[in-house]
Amino acid sequence: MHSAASVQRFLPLPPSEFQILLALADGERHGYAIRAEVAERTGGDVMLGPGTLYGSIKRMLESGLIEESNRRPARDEDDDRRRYYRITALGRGVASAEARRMAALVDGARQKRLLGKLGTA
Amino acid sequence: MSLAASLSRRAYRALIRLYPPEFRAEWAAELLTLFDDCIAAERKRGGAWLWRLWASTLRDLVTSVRREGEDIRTVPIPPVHPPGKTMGTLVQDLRYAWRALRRSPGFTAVVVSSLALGIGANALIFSLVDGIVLRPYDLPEPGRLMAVGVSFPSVDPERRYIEAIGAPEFADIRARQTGLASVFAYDLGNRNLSGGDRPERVATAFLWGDPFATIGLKPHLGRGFSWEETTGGGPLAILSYRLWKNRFAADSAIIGRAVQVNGVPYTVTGVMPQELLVLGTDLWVPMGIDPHRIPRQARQYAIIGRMAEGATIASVNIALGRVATETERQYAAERPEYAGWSLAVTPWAEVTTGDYRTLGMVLLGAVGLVLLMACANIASLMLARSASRAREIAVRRALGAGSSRIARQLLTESLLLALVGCLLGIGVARLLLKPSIGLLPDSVVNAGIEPSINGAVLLYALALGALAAMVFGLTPAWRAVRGTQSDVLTPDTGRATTSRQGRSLRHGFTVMEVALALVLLAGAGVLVRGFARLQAIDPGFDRERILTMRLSLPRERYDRAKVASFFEDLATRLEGVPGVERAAAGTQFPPDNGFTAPVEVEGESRAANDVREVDVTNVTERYFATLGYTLVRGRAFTSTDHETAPRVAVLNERAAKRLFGSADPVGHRIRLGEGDERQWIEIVGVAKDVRNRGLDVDPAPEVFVPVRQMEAEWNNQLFLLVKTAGRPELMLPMIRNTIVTMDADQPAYLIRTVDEAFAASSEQRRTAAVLLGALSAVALLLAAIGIYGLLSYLVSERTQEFGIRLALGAEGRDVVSMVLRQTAIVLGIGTLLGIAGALALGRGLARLAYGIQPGDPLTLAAVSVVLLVVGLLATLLPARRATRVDPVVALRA
Repeated sequence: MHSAASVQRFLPLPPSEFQILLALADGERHGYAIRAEVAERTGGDVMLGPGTLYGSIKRMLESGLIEESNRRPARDEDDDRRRYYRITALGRGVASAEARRMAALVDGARQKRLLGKLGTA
Repeated sequence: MSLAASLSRRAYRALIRLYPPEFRAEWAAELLTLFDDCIAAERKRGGAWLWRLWASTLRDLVTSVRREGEDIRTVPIPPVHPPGKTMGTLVQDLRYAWRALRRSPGFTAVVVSSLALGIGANALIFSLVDGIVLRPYDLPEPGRLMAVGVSFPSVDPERRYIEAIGAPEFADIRARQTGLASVFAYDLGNRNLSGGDRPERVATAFLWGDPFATIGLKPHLGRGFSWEETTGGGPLAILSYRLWKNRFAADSAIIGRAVQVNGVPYTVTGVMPQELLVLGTDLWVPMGIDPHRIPRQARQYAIIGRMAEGATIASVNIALGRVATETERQYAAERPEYAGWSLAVTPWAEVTTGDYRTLGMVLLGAVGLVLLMACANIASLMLARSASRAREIAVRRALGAGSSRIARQLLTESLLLALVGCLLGIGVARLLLKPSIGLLPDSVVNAGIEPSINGAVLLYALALGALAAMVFGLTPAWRAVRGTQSDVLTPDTGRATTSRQGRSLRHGFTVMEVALALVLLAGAGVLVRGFARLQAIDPGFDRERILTMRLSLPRERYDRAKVASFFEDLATRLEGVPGVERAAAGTQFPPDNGFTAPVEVEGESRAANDVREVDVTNVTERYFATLGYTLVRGRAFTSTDHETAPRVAVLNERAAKRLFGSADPVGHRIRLGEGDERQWIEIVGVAKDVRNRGLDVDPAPEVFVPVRQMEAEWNNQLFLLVKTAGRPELMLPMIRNTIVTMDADQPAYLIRTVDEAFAASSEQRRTAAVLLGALSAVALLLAAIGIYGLLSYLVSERTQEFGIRLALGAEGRDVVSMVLRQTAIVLGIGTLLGIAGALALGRGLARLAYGIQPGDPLTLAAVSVVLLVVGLLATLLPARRATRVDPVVALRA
């Protein structure tokens, strides 16, 4: 478990990094699969370009939010140019902290009647 | 991978260099892989995928390059950082270039705007040529789509593709293994589509076989025809997408329903995809007859086939040659035209756009030369500027910048200028595209060809921009590399002097511009003179104020006699309408003649294979009077030349000479067409020749036959010709009303005046003359600017020398003559080189210029004079400035 302080210094998380953590939350993926998952989940609203995606990945690797996976898929499944990434325990902690932070923000907005009740927004 | 995809990939690989080297080293391969995936994904989504790809990629680049750059700066600087690594990123070069260009806004504006115009003009012309000539149809593997051409050297030297082949010949080709995987044959016509608020003429293709299979597109709805359906069976129809949308409200329940074609119900089996197929036809119907049952000489069909995998044009042609040889062996005895006949394929796109290929290539070449001139001007400017920047460069050199570093910096500036010019140029092309398409001939627009600023055009523009940057940027950069440190920081007079070498380079650029301008002027001169010569030709009749339109009476309701009396009656009724001087109808009128038939003179024995052909035109009584033809012998037709009266004909002079030499043909008899049931026709008159096939073609022999006496192969489509007292187009409603009084279901179409028909027949030549004229005017302007720039520079550079000379007693005259001598040398050499270039390149224009040789000395002399005069005018201002030099000021400077 990471200390609250070590998690807090990452917040607020840049949107692209948050999206990448969400994409990796349920399993390891390579770059294009991350992009595809984000695009699908957001209905095409968020399309991570190559530079944004790998820029974020670079920083997240450096800060330990994600790590490179050693998994190599079977040859026919994919080509070996690709690197796979998975979320670290720290990354998971940061993602859920960020989600809580956002939920609190949303709650605030709801109290100010900027949003309807959940589901009627 | 398509060209656009592979070029995109290359462009992205180059753009990756914008990222800092550390990031690149680690991530370049990943970026490229992901970019490949993006290409694949966007292409799968289809549509304007290239736009989407690059719009998102550029956005990504802008944000992430900045972000990665910041990362670098926040990284603590290592104590000893290797020179040229972090300092050497392209970002830094770009930033510096941006600042340098912003410091001289005038220079930047001139360079960017001339590039924008040059590249814009190139992109525009390229998009037109790409859309019309290179890739007119956006179909799968268009290169495998072939038209089968046929030539009968014993009767006609040309190979023909449309209305060229007989039905049994098509059946033979289809039955053999020729390497054509799928073939269909078509004949074009028009059909009346009735029902709804008004009847409509639609361009119709009559088919054997299934075009969808051959073309490689699926129907939007329903299905195509089977072979059996096209050779027999009930009336079926396939509608074009636009017809389905406009007339049937895009009703998807239309499949299986009936539409009224010439008053007969046809069952709709399919709707074409949005692309227009088969020359823009809106309706496809089956031929409905076995091709073997059509006589061999009815050669009115065209064949399109798709080459099988592995087949080549050569292999297909060999197989077709075997088909031809076999047919020749079997039929040459009864059909003499088979002697030496041949079959061969040509890519279909070339067949349909062949007319525009030459024009397109000439224009692309010309507009490329204009860009080259713009580049020469810019290079010259940059040379001048690099001389004045010598100090700045020297300072940077002294601070440790290497030669290659400085050269790279200068090149980056050029690239930045080119990129901005390029983007603006694409904007210019986009702005001008719509109006330019408006200028295209109807035949192109109707065939469904739509030029656009697509991915290929964008890449072309970007490539030109990069090339331009190389052309105008390399010389100054190279000179910077070779520059020495000598004169640098010594205090001088503040005035930069160029080396002898720099000056001669600028002379060279200007000479090149003069030469290129002359090439373009000579080309334009030849085309304009050719066009003027064409317009000066007397067509031989009064072609003014004649409105024409076509009517096609459905064979289901009109037989031969009814067609004849319909048009005779209509002409008579129209002559009773106020404002109509005369009216007539005919199967054709100048300049669009084309119905021909073999002719035979009574009492003359000729070999069976010696076939003579004449144009045959069926006309109503007052055809000659309406068009203003003069009769030189005999009489015109009268109401007594009716169906049961003896057959009569009028020849034009050309036909009289061809058939009877110098003898008077009146009273002699001829037969037209083929077969033994033909009747002898007595010649009753001879009409003066007119240019019946267009101004640029000698009159063709023509035989006129009364419409009441049409032969077995009678025609149901006639042109109505109305000579009006006032402006012809104002009479259209009255004429339409009169037609309605006779048959409310008959639409008039192809409405135009005879004048317009003639203009259309020389459309291509006019377009060529106008466009090349405009381009050469731009070239002349550029050359003038080049000369002006060179001389103002030389004058300002020699101010001190002129001051001394004037102080020592030289007259203003002497100084002017010195300046003029400079111009004369540049102009003289440039003109000579230009004449050589014009002679070398002019052959490409031979097909577009009427009656003028591309090397025409008069034209060359005229344009040389124009160029010399303009060149000398451009010298006036600098020369005047030279005489106004105040010796005192000049010497003190």
